[in-house]
Amino acid sequence: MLDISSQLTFLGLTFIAGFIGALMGIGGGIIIVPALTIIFGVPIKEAIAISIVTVVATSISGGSSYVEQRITNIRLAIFLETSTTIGAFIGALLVLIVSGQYLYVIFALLAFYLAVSQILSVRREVRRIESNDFMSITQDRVSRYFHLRGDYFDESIHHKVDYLVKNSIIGWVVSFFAGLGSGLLGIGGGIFKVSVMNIFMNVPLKAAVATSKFMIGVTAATSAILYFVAGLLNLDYIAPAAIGTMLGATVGTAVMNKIKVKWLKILFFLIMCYIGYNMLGKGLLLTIGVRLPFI
Amino acid sequence: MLITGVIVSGVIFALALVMHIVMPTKLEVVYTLALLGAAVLIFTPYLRVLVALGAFFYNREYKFAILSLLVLIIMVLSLMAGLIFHIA
Repeated sequence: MLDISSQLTFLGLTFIAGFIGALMGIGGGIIIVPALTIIFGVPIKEAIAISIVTVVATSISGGSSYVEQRITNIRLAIFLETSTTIGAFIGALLVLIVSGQYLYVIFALLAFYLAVSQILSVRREVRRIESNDFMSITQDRVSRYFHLRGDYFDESIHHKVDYLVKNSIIGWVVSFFAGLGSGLLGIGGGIFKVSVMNIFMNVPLKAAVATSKFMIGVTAATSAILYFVAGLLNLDYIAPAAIGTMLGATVGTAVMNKIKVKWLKILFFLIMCYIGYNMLGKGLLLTIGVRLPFI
Repeated sequence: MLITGVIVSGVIFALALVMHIVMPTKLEVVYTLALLGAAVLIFTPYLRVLVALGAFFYNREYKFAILSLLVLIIMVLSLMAGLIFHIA
């Protein structure tokens, strides 16, 4: 069992992970897994298992707050959740037979692409939010069939933002791969879900963040249960990790809607670059044995 | 709904930490509490999807009731795969 001071240190770290995770609609595993393996010397598989449980913790504490604030689009979440959980389930099973080394490179390239799209779309999104322009598109048949649309009240500019969802099929397919990656690589996949909704499906960033926050809990619980009943969960770290991320997510969700979209997008860009670099590093190390700095 | 799961598991985890500080020798109590907290946490999303399923069905939104049911089935499949993996 850990001593009290390292438990409190760990609680502090997971608080930060929970806070950033709430702002971005992601799980925070990108912070928790390296912290556990590098600082605390936990084996990678145990670190992933702990991380995935904390993702459930941050999602249900952060997600419920966004549902109350009416930013979450539950219909859209359920729609995308059908493909993403299938992906996560297949991915978790595939872990037993294939290795994820080439996937790291593919996901790294995707992360860089999405990072650039985020930074390029800052002005356009700010303008569209201010002029409430997310309604003037034509929906595809699937989005129309499921009545995928929504609205939320943006507290940073004090008005309601309405939107119609488009490209549901593309979104559904990309969600499948986000789920597959999450099962295979032990990442939450929230960063991909937010980007898919925001960049391809015409969902404003804040609504995408809240919807992703809700979704990742369901996806993570699907893989967490595998680790839990298989007895892979290291109980030493669970209590401080869960409390830290819950508190962090609570604070994060309280401030997210007050932040201007521009700053959220810039934060997104930075985090996506970090994730892309991290994955590229892992991929290159595993495929051709090249070690990038800081990996 | 979700918030109840957060509060219940949060309280259990906090109790585990307090027990660890107050009675550092009784590790089995701390571990049992941590295990219980994790169980509550993981099952909360299961319950959340179940409630969504019920709500969509009640509101006669059958398209979404079916989608929720699909998600729930995959979640249960994963639980069963975990059990099989554990036994094997």
